[in-house]
Amino acid sequence: MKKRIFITAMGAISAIGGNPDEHIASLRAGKSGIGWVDHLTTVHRRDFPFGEIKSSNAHLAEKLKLAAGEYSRTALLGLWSVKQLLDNAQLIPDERTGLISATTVGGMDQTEHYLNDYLQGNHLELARQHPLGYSTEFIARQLKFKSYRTTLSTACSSSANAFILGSRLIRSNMLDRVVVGGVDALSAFTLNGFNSLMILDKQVCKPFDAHRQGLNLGEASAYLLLESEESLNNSNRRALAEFSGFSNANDAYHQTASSPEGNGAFSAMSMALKEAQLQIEDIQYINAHGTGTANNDLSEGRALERLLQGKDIPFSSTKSFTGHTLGAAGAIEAVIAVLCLQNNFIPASLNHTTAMPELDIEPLKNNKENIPLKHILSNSFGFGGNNSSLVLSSVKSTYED
Amino acid sequence: MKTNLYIISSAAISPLQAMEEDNLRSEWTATGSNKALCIEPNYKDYIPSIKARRMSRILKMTWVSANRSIENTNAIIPQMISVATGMGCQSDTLKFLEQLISDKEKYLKPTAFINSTHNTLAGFLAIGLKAKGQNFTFTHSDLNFEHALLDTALRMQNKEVENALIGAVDETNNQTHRIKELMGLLRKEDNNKLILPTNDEAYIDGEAAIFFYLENTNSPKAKTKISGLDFKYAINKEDELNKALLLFVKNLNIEFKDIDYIVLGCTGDYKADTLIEKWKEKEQLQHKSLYFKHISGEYMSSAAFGLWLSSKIIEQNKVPKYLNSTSISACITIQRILLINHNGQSNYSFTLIENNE
Repeated sequence: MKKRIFITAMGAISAIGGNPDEHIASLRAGKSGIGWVDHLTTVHRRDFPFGEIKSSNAHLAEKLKLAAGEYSRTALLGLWSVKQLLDNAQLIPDERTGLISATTVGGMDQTEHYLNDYLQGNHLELARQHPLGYSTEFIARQLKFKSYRTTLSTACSSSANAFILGSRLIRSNMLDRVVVGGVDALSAFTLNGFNSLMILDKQVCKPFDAHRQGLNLGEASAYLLLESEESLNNSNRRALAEFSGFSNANDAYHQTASSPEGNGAFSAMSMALKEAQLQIEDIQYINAHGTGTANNDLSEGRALERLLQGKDIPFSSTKSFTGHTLGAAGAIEAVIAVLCLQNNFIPASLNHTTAMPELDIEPLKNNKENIPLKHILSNSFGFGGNNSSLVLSSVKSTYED
Repeated sequence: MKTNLYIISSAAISPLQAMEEDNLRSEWTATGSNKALCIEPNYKDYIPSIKARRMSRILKMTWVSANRSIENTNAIIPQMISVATGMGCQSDTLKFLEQLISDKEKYLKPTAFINSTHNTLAGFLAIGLKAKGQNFTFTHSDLNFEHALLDTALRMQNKEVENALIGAVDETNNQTHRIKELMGLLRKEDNNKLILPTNDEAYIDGEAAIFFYLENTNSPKAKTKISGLDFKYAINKEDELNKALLLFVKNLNIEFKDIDYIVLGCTGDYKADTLIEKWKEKEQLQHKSLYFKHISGEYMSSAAFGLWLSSKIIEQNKVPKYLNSTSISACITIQRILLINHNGQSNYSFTLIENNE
């Protein structure tokens, strides 16, 4: 039998809150974090809304009690949530505690301002922070991790894949517990990249809506502590949820587009359910990837339709609250799933008015409270055809059954 | 940990020799530059020109090397693909970034952006090979190829997959090279031709695209096998490395004397290499030590070159002289090579490669 993996602590920061409690409060209040930016430097600051975290780098560094210096926002946001997680878990990392962090922008938030300075020998401390692996190693050093640490980057499914790798390391007895998650700061580089692809909405995004125009970029970091049952029993922590199934499958279709039938998405979801030994009717809520782009929502919508087969299981995209946080999306949505399981709550998709003509299904329009939730499916799909689905399960059922 | 990764086939586009050369070169001469560039195949021989025009250099290196590593195997579609790349497609990244800066965020075309993501390489392989299984890209600043190997070993141990296509790809780039020079990381001109070990405090910038096709079961095709893999993180004391290495071989039921050669991932920065050098001297392994980063250069996924080289040495039962600046002891039949790698930080990987014939 496979070893059970539990989620025993979390840390998160995004446009809708600086910790998990603030996230559930914002979701319940229907309060989106998407709006005009204050901190991102770009000529497009009034062309597109963003899910920006309303703290400057200086403020974050001060709160984190860091020595004076220049820091990439990615490193700062990453440290914020892992530190919070360790505080919540009352955990000092030992030889059996790993760290897997995902990111897609790394130190680009600084390089886009200082590239020419680097080439003149200035701001080299920031140049050092450019590679994707830097923020992971920075977090590990700051918080004195002693063991396995690595960085994954598979575009927008990056941090979901950190869960997959993390649980494999626990099941293989390489580690007892591992902090998994991801971080991405807003950057002009990604903004202009997505703009050149013409998939940014000039207004708030409308996932799964007939009139959707694209996505809103956001920034976040989110980390969860995965732990074996044995490790959990030997600690003072309690399980917040169980991580019961996952899958990573490749669409093998196109570099930036999903297949119109959503084959990769369908296979990722089906295999994750199979891995969790569940049927689709066991799932009470699906947190969709739902970026708000024409391509993703059609492809994912068709895959969902195939999976649901007419069953009325609510789904929504919380990217309408946080924006699309790229490498952090899988982890921030996993944090949201755990909060939903704990609070018997399902968040609505914001800004949805009109059903897509191609689909018979629609995202949830209004929040649902007091819904006993046992299992949630959470999707993260990325460029390169990279599709991941995670199943998160309530631990309440363990005691009730 | 014990592993059973059978190396069925491999391919390397590297600074040492042409990809098509099956045997290791018997002679090697340093170029005298502090940038080790790949000897590249004629991509036209492998990629139709219409397709090649839309592919960046790193993507061509990846595609050709990966295909070469599976062309003589029965692999129709690899069940998993992992690519380790520290810096990813940095030329495309810088191209998009420079346009963004010079055109003040206006009139940008998406091609360079699409090609800039780190998982462009693994994603491209998935599409090209129609490989629908797990597709990961490891991007840590050190040991990332070894992390990809570990993941593969665990999946094979769990019987999740029977085969895997695993590679390491990093390319040099003029701007990044300049920045590394300004940081004082790279060798000065006088030292560029030195064979390791040296007393220098700098390394050569490097690049390669190296792929391995691995299977979990023994077969006559597998001439070598990765039979052990482990890591030790965040250490700065000699004693910690010594203990970790002792434990590694003990867990594999062997002793240091059973190992014929040690392939050392010393970068060339003597200060960063200290722990490995001290261990080598303590165990009196000077004449069994082989170095490779004066050839491959140092970069975040450079261990793959060390693994490829080790595997070739065992296969051919021959050690080229250019792998150590001092003398190398002879060995009749090479059975085992221990690869010890680091990338200038305080994390270390240990890989045992064995003769499987």
